[in-house]
Amino acid sequence: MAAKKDIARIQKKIDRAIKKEFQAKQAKTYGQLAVKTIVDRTRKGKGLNGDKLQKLDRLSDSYIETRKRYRKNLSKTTSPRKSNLTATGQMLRSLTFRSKNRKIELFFKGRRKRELTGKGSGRRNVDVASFANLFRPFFGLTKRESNSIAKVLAKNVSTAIRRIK
Amino acid sequence: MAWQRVKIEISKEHKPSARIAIGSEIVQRILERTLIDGKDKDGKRFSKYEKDYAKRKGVGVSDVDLNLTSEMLDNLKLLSHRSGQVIIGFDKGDTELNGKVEGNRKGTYGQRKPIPGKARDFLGIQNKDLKKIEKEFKVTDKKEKDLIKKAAEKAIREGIVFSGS
Repeated sequence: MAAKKDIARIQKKIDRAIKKEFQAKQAKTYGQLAVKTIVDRTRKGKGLNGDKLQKLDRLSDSYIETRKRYRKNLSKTTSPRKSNLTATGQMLRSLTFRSKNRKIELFFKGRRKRELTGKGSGRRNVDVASFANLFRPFFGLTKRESNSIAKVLAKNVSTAIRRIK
Repeated sequence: MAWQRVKIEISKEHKPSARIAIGSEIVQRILERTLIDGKDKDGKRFSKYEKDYAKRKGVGVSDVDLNLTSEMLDNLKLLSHRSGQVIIGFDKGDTELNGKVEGNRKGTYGQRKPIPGKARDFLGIQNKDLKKIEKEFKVTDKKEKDLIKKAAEKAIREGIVFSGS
């Protein structure tokens, strides 16, 4: 009973510390980590299959040809044959976050300046991402990925709690 | 007349709130052991009352509970605590009460020298009882770490939202 009380007391401290960590200033750490996790993983050619990672589907032959044709416009983080949801690189670069109601919201910001052909289209990055996500799911975090972000949070919470004591 | 108190060593791991709780539990244990079990700090039965005294009190000679007006045991409390120890006893200022307690503990009962076999030292706790109490209040570092880890994982899982895709 008494131990339970002590646990409840510690739990309260933990909850308070987590709430603080999710305030705008501190939330930056976790938002940046989440964005980096998704972008780095996608650039490596890995997408999501439920809670697991899987290689992104290969590109169609016709699209590979198009990419070859516009090779000079391709991002440095890809190649014509590489399936990593990157052509000009704008979509992944536009992935960002904002802190809202104690939540960290990941979203795609802005419109595209140019397409692979070099022409401007004015399409929104979010639309490109939605389409890509339909066939090659990438926008999310696996349990393992979110737990590795949680490790950073846990470390900060632990430090905050020691400060409270 | 000496100030009646006992210093009890506990683990240094206990935080202040746990020390207060442990101190209160020790007081509770001393009261139960004295009033219900009729045993001293070493777990031995108190020596019997004198026949006259037992008759006056209206109990059997073996029904020793050190409780007549209940003034003495009611005033037993946690006096102070610090890392690694709690002090249980009676207010320093109450000389009459301290005298009464000393009489019981040493077996002097108003005499200059202790009456042999009449010491009833109730102020203290057996190691096995202390261990039991400490165990109840022990929230180990590992347990705390687990709590933080679980809370952080949940917070990240629920706190990062994916929008627009």
